[in-house]
Amino acid sequence: MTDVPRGPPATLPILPVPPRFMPPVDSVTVHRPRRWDEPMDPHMTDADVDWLLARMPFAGLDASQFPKSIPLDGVLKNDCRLHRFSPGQVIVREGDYANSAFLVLEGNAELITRPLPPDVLGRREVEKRSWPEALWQYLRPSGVREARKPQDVTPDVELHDRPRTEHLQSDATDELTGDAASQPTLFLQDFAGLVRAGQTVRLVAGELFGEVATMLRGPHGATVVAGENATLLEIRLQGLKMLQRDAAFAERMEEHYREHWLAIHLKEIPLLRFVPESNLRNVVEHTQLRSFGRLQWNADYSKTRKLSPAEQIESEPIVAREGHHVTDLIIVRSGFGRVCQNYGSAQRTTAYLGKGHVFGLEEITLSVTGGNGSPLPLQHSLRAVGFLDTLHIPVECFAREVLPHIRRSELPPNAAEAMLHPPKAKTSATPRERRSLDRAKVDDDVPMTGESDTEDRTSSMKAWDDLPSPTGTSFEPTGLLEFIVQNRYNNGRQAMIIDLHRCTRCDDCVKACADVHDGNPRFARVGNRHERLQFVEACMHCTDPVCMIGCPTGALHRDKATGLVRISENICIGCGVCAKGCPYDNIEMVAVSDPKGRPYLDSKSNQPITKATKCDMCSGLPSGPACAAACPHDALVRIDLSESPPLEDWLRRRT
Amino acid sequence: MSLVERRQTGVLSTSQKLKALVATSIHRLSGAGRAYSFRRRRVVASLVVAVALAAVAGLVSIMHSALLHTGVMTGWMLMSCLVMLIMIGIRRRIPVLPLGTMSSWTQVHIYTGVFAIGVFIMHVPAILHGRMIANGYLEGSLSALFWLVSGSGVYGLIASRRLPWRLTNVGEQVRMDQIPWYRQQIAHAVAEEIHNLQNPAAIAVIGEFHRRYLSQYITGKPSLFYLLMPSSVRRRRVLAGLVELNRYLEEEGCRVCGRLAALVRKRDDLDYQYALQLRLRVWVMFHSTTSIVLLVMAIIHGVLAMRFVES
Repeated sequence: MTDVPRGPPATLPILPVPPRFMPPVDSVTVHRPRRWDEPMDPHMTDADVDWLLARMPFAGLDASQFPKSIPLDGVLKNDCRLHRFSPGQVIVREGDYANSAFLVLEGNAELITRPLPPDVLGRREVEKRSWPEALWQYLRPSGVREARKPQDVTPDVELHDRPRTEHLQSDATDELTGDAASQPTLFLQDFAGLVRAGQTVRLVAGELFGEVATMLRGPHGATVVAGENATLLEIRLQGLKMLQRDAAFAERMEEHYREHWLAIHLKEIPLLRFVPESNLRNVVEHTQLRSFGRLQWNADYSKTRKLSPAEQIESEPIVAREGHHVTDLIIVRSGFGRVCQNYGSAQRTTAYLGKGHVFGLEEITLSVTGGNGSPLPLQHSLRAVGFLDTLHIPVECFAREVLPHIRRSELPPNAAEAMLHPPKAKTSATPRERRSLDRAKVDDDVPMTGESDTEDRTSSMKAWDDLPSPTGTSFEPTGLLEFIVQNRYNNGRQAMIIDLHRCTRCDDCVKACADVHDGNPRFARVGNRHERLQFVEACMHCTDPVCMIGCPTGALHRDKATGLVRISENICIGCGVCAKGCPYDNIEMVAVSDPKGRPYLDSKSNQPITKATKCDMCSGLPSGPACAAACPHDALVRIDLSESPPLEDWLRRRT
Repeated sequence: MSLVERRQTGVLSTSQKLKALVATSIHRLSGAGRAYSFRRRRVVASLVVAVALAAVAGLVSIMHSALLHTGVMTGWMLMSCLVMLIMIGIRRRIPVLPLGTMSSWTQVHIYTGVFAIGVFIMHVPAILHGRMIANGYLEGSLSALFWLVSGSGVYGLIASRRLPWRLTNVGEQVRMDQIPWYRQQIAHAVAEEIHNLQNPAAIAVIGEFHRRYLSQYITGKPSLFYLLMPSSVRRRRVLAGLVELNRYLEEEGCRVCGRLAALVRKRDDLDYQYALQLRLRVWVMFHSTTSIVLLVMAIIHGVLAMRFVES
């Protein structure tokens, strides 16, 4: 063991104010990691970069727009990869989590316009087992830890060694890295038939695809297959962000997004669903796109979660500040936002926003209708939790094009009231008419018999509910909300929560999980705790599944029908990127064996075959999640934490 | 009522106030208007059981008036209830089939149990004559066993609601199967503290305390009495002993005593968790075993009784 001297030496000179930073006596000098220490493709050469710079769109980029530390040629060399795909080879698969955009340089690619069956795309979907099947498997466990059938270990699609990336203008015999070499390559069967049937759209040289899914950290909306002589440039997210520093490139990307996607995204927002097409076109024209925070928020997560709530709030980028005039309606496109309010000398969280949520609606409506007599400033601040991507619709545009088409029931109560009873300006009504209106208003204000009493009591009860309760049954506004946001549990769509005041620690949930997974439980009853609630370490099937970023084969994917994050084990290469990427440590890598207990070994390296495992919500079972069904005391729930009402309702029911 | 009248009756009459109060109380008590809540579930289930028992009592009374033998009907009811109550154990062991959630089964189990107690009182004539246990060896032991199972069920209901609170309030949440490992870690930490003592006075004073009291407490298992009735008596005595040592120690020795005290507290928390978790598990085992015995005895009783009835 090394003998490390503790404490400062007794002879250290004591200086009242150090003249400049001096390193401590006991220090270890290391090389500070830099951007591009690990390029996307180590085989990109300067010749490749020069070739790219000679072609559009890079030839048109203004290199002076890039900082000296991150020059344009550096971006191309380190954040991009050149590919030459064979005809019929799948470039991106529908549903795969996007991590890079692709630019067609030569040849063409075909975008498949209809959804393809999962097995054609190399995924084996989990089929629901029948009752007898489920019972039979339950009664005949293999008795082997992590047993898999051979077809679950290797893919049943046509797989080849990935064809070498042929670098243009480079004769160097480049060897692939181990990771890249192990990536299986998928060829679409009957690709020519699809093209003939007109079920594809041709993407030609100069066209970019996958950039929207990449920027929004969402899944690819369609499968793209290589055509003849397809040479493509893969640009990873970090590079794409840098390329956007060039105004022309950013404008081109934004135009592409506006042209193809913005209207679709706006239409998906419930508030805007009745807006006519003509109005929507104007909204699309005026909407601004903005991003806040850091995309790779999971990298900072372990540090920021240890900060106090006040420090954490302060560290989050501000999107809109309380007390300022409202200028835009803010729509969350992706990521999470924290809504907070000044309280005393700090800020307290009042809500959190996720995809599709809006901010500033009440203030805008009240300001536009003049319900408050004067423009209402923002009542809350909005901050980016980790990463936040927003759409900003200017107030004037919103008032003109959108507000008239919003249902009153969808507006905040105060705003709806203001819409219903706008303040009376000088009207042309006669004194008799005005008196009549006033009388009607008084009549409206008169409560029904007993109503006032009950309403008073209800409102006082509601106010009382806001106080933190020793039983923890109230959804107290600050503590629990801040705990959820601080630990990023608001990312969870199927978070597992245990009410410790009801849980008898019988572990029936874990036993049930083990029973339905051939003796291998997919979670343990451990996790962070807030008062009576324990947030168990089980896959939450996140809204922003950062575990999917970097999955080289797309084995980790989101099920379109259920929204669950699934692992196609047959194409999982066991690289462990997902397990390292999951900020909640909810994915485990396990070595697999055959049902007789013989470990699977790689034929080339003789290393054990490992697979990523996690909670699958018992999707293959007729019973649904066994953990929640097995709890005899209503203590365990799988719940969507991306919004607060489900948890609020669940807590309220526990009285 | 017109608007004018409504304005005039701004002040509510006493009867109206009372009506509103009653309506609000019922509203709150039943949980009506709110989403499905535990309170609402309790109220509805209790009402259903009360109505069912009243119906059975009425039927028994009618049959009794008609000089019919009510024992057969109530006996079959009890037998059905027992089978229903036992079924929860089967459901618990088959998590793969969609047979409903265990929490629904538990609710059915609880209220079927309550219903069974009511029917049992109507079934056993001795109870109506002021005795709790029926006559005869078989019937006597069967009724005693019924009360035992019912009593353990009621205890279990209370324990499964109260003990989790107590477990939650004791520091860290530890899984029962990991408690021996944690105990071992604490014992190692204590041994290391003692081993690292440098000061001769500390070695003498703390060493002796460790030899005489602390090692027994740390390495031993909690007594049966503690498991039955966990209390903080031992912990308080050990902590008081450690505090007492401070006057004989230097500053460093006092710090060691403080760390040992923290380990003692940790160990006591573990023992407390262990005792309560063990109690819950033992209860489940006891209740399920006695239930099976009860079912077997009830079947024997039923067969014999049916032979008697048929003869």
